[in-house]
Amino acid sequence: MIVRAVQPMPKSASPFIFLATTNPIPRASGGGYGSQNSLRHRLALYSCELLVRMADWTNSCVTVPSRRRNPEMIVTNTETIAGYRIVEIKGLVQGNTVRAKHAGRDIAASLKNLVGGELKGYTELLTESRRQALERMMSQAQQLGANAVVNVRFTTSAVTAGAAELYSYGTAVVTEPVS
Amino acid sequence: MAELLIQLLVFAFFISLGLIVGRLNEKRHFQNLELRESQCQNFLITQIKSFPDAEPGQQPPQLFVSEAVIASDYLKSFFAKLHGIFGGEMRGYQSLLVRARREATLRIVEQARAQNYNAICNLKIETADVGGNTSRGNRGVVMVAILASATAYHYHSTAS
Repeated sequence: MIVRAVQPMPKSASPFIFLATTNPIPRASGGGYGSQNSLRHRLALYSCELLVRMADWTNSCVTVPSRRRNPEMIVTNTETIAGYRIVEIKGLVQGNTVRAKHAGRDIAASLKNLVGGELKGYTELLTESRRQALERMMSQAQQLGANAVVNVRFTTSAVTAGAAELYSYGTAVVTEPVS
Repeated sequence: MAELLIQLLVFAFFISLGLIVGRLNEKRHFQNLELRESQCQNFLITQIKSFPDAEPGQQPPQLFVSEAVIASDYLKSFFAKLHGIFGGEMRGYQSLLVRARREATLRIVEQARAQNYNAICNLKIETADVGGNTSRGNRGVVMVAILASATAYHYHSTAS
């Protein structure tokens, strides 16, 4: 993971703001903890919450800013581009990333597994890693002097438990608009 | 004896949780999907590799990608375990996959519409594996992760 820019810490993402909230279960509600309200359970929930907040906060500091995309670069997953002609082929470009999901998301997911529904944390994880892979691929294409990437494909693989690998690859080309 | 009873009660609680909340969640999701699909009816979705009826001179085509991760509920997982003994079709997991695919496709359509495109082509839908769930020894969370990608462009409808 490359640290490119440290974003200023947003107010709402402070790791200690959870102390002020009165509801001990702001996320992943509907779990099996419903009726038990003892001190031990509260403490466990607080520590889970702290873990989630800390991990979210560190992630927000480290992740690449999402929109650093070159606006002129055309990226498609088709072999041709409508209205454009391919003038030169620069070759294969690729980008990959392995991102781990943090333990807080695992806890939320295991609670969600009782009632069903979307796992937002995992969706976010995939979105982030896909963006990072695409950006690496595009910066490679830019270095080759291409202005478009065609026939982009994505593959995922499971390296270890708890991490997702996303690999994107395509062909860097130089295109010009058909007059 | 009492411990067994408590275990049975906990099990019944989880099953009923899956039965009530899980069913409700699924029904709501399907209703939500139908509503959003009806909102983008004139949108052309194909998985042809070229651009059918493309109208040149507009914005350049653009790649859109979306993800959807849907978790199973306790009841479905339980029935799946039963099916694991006797074999047969798992209808519960089938609806899970259908939901995830429709959700991912809809997300692409909505992103593309927000940027004034009116068609997508070369839609690719594949399953992703978040956290090695298909590898052996890790059967924690049952979920479906779908990664969809498509190219958005402008098309000129000749049907009108």
